[in-house]
Amino acid sequence: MTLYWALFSGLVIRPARRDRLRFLLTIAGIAIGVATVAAIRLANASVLSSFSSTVDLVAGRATLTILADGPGIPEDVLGRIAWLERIGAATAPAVSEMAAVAGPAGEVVEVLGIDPMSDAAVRPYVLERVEEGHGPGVSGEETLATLFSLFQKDTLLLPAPLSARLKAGPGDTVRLVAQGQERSFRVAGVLEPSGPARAASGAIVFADIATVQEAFGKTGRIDRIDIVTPEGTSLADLTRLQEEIASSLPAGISAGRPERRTETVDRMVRAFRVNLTALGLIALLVGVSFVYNTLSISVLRRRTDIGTFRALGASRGQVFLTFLAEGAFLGVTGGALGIVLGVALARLALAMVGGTVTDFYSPAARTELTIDPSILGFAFLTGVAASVFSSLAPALEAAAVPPAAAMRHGSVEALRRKGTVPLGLAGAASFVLAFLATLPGPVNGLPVFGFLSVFLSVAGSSLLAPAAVTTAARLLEAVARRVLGPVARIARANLSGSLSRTSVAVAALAMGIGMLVSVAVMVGSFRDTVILWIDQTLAADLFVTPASGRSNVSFGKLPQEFVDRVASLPSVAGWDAFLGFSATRDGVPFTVGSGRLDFIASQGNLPLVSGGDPRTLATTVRQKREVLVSEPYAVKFGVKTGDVIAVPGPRGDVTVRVGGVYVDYSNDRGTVLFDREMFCELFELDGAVSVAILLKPGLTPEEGIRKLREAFGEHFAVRIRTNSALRADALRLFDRTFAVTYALELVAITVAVLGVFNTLLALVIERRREIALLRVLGASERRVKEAVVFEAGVIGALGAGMGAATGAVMSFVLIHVINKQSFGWTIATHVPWLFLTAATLVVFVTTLLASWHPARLAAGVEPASALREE
Amino acid sequence: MTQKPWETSALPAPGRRRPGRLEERARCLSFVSLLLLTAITSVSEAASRFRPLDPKEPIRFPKDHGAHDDARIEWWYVTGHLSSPSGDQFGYQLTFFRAGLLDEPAGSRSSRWAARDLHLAHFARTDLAKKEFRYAERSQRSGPEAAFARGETLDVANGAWRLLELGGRFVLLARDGADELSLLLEPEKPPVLHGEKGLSRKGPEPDAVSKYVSFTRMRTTGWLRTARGVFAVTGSSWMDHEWGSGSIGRESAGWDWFSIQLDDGREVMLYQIRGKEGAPTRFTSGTLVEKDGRTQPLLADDFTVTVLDRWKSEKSGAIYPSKWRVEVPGAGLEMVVTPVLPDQELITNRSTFVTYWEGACEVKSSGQRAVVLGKAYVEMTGYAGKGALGILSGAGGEKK
Repeated sequence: MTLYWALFSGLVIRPARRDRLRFLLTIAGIAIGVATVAAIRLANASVLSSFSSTVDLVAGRATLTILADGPGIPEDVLGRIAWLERIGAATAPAVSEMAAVAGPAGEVVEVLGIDPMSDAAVRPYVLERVEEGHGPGVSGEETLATLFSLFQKDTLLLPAPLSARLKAGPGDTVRLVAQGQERSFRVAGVLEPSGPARAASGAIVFADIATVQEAFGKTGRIDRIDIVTPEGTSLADLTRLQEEIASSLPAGISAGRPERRTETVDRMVRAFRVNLTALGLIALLVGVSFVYNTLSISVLRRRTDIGTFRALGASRGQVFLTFLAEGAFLGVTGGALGIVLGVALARLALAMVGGTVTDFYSPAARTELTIDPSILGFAFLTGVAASVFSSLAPALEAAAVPPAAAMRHGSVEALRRKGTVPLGLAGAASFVLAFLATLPGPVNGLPVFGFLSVFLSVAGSSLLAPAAVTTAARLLEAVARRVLGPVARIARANLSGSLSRTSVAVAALAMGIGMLVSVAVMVGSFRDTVILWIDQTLAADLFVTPASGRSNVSFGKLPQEFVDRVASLPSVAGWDAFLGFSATRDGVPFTVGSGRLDFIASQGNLPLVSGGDPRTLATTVRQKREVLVSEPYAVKFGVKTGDVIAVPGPRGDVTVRVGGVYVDYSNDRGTVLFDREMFCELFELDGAVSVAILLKPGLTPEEGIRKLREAFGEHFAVRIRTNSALRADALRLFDRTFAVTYALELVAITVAVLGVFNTLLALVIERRREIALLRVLGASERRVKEAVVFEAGVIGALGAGMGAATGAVMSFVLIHVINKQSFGWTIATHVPWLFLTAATLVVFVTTLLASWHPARLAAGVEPASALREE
Repeated sequence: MTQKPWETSALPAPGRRRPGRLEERARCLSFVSLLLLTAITSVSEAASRFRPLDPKEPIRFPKDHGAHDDARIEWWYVTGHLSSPSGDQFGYQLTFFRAGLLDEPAGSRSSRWAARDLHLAHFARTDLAKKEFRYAERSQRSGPEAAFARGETLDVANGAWRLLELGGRFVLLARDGADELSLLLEPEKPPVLHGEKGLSRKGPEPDAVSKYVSFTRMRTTGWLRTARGVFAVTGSSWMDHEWGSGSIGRESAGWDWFSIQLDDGREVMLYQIRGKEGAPTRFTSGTLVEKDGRTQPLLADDFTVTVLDRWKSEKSGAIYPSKWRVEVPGAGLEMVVTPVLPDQELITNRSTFVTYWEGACEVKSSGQRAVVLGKAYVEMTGYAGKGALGILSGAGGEKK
């Protein structure tokens, strides 16, 4: 034990104290990597857990929930499951909707329509205690009496915190936007924030089914039926019951465990999460390359000390373990710091990820960060494991040091150089494998091989780094010496003389720049493609959606009456109305939508994947009663023009032929697009979620808005956006979605530049004697400084060059493999040259700047004292 | 054939619900009455859905067999005596109540869930051989596939319990646990209009009236399932239908009602509205139906009912009359009505909140050598301390 401690303190702690900065940087590198992974996973898990807790709270005591794949459950199916009563099961139907509290900053709330008579058996409601009440709480009887008062039209119950926020107590009025109209609801009672009243983070109100059906235009439909089976029902019985219920119901309506809705949402955000985690892992990879670098240097610098310890009786194993312990120590410290940083970062990431996820999936959810220890543990252990793993090679090297032998480290480097060629070959092979990995399709909807390809590219570029450094050194030898003289010679000697360190610095920088390049190319291409698509698609002048309070995303729908009135306005030259619903097929979510194909036939605003003329296609699809599918749908479900697909309808499946595939970047779930008339008839729906208006020539958008407002007065609570405003909103949403990736790029670059700094610093510290010797031989301070800066320049240039090359490969994989497989979008490659050049230059200059401190340190080496050290 | 989930042994037997849920239900419903009051008093008189009965409005069938949306309370009451070829004898009762909840004119709401009515139902059957009486109750708000009462023609449902007219015949379905009833009823006589052309007075208040019609003899065939098996049954049923918006029975302590089917082809309906002191009031009357269907109203003076015996319920503590001498001198009738089983009491804490006695009885001549004259069903309310009509009287009484 004492020996271990002596070894550890002599070989790890003391040197660490001496090179405090280098150690701190290494730890920072790991910390950033660990923090990134932790933050992304925490943010995602929080979003998901808030969703799943809402699902659980709404499900209450239910052991089974009946949900529809298609547009809701026709309420008359309740009769088909009336037999459930005979086995002692309680059933509670419910309608769920979303509404904004009236006003521009109104919050978004979930509205759950229940049958108060049957609901208490499923969801435990607790009425808020009135202060001056005599008893300890409110009796169940009072609660039920309040629940029953929901039978009155347009009354609701709300949780106490929401009641406080809205300043609405029992008897007061709450105004909600329903179907694009403000509607008053009387507060029948206030609930304790427990049970269902905690769902959607408390942004939820409860009303009678009839009230919700009428206010939100959903007469005849319910969204779920919760079933409480008798206590003691076994899992096998539940499964059998599930089948029995399914056979009682139309196709597409089925019973399942209540949690399955969480699974669907999990599936929705999975691609998003996996992609971000992969990027985070690359940041971690850059971080742990630090460990290798630092430990390699440690081993080289302390060969003499290791030899001495070996002579004093330390075994190979003990030395090996000591350096492994150093790796672990770095990993543990960096990991610990990383999870602290990760939690802080997660709050930031939550704002972004949470924003993105809720924008797309559930505007009512207000997510709070939940710190899941297992995620922190995972990130921490990943950091430690990666550190220990990357310290294996240096530790083995240390263990190989013979007792008391003070072998010059140059001879080790000579050994390394021999390894350059095999390593280079392995790198080349890695790139070949990376190419091969782009060929297979997605695994379970995830681009697993795509990510493998990215990692192989990164590995390939790292493995090629020593060869690149050696080649660069040789080139310098041949060409630059004549031009630059001794400076180049010192630099060359340093570069190839310390191949193990410089190549790691180059590889790290290449990784960072590769990431920057690939992500910038991907996002840039995507953005350009989307802008082009928006130009082709947004044909109308004005877009009307129901008012959505403080949420940017619109939800709910406008009644048919509104659509009819818009169509009859004299200022309107043409109009389109979008209406749709979320559907699932075997648990995979997609959208079933509708628009007016005759509008598309006249405007041609639906670019096709085939590049054909949308006008003629829209006309024939409409005549033949076919449908169009979006590209993500075609990719996800493997569907092509001419195929027959089944769409869940209110009374079983609707089968239709696919007439064509159109380009759509508005959602990655995939859309089946029907002509409005056919859609309304098949799915028994009316109204619109948005209405697009083409104004009569000569009218400005502002005049158009004024005329609309005049026509509708205060009756409708709608948001009207002009073409340019909608375009700006779309791009803002796009940029917000990708803000996370920009942040990650920044992290990777920072880590990589820190790596260059770290390497240079190590080189300078290690070569004090050589620098002193040079000084003694007549090199000026300036020469020495220049040599270090030059070295930095070479590392920077090599890193940038290799990074650009790797980045090009990775961007190809990101655009054509990962994006295509996870989202199904075709993106036209567009290289943002200006940005890339500027960014690379910035990185290069930063690398040079990073050499400033090591250069000064080198210049400050006092020949006499440095030489005396030995 | 796949096994049905409800046939698995792991699931609790039908009817044996989790403890707690039953109580929960019970608590649920003790507020129905409260709710009825708040709901009804809060709406203005002007646009009221409920109208007082119009004595001049003639009763028309089959429309008036169906529901009357403008009446606050309405019920369909079917009782009958059944026997199987094996000689087993049964009595049954199936009652559907409809209580108007929301004072909104018809068609003002688009959702079928709009809780315009509360639907309550009782189902009881008596197994004479086993001396066993079982009953069940249901309560629901109006809603699709839940409970409804249609107008135009008779079609009322509460869950799987149903009573509907099909071309002049009536189908009756009820089920609770092991008990299940499926009957076809064919009227043997035209419907009887009680009181003055169907208008039946129940108290001194001007609005204490209801419209009251009956099928007094209906040939009955079908089957009955009990825990001990399925029985093909035939027999004779009696169906009452009563509706109104007024304060029925507010001033009374309860009532006793007799429906007697005599083997000679005649039927007698009698009811006594008891005053607060327990004695029959002057709003006591009845109807005698001749073999050919002609009817003759019976006034309080036309008949006497003498209690011969009493029975005390252990469950409710109520003491009910349990044997009567019924005399209708004008019809030459002197009968002794005896319950086939003393305990045919319903404690309905999950629906109407009435504790009442309703049971099959046998009818014999008086004297030493009693001769069987026929069968009867007797209903007695107001003996258990609660209101005669439970929440139904609340609904009727608390008018603004």
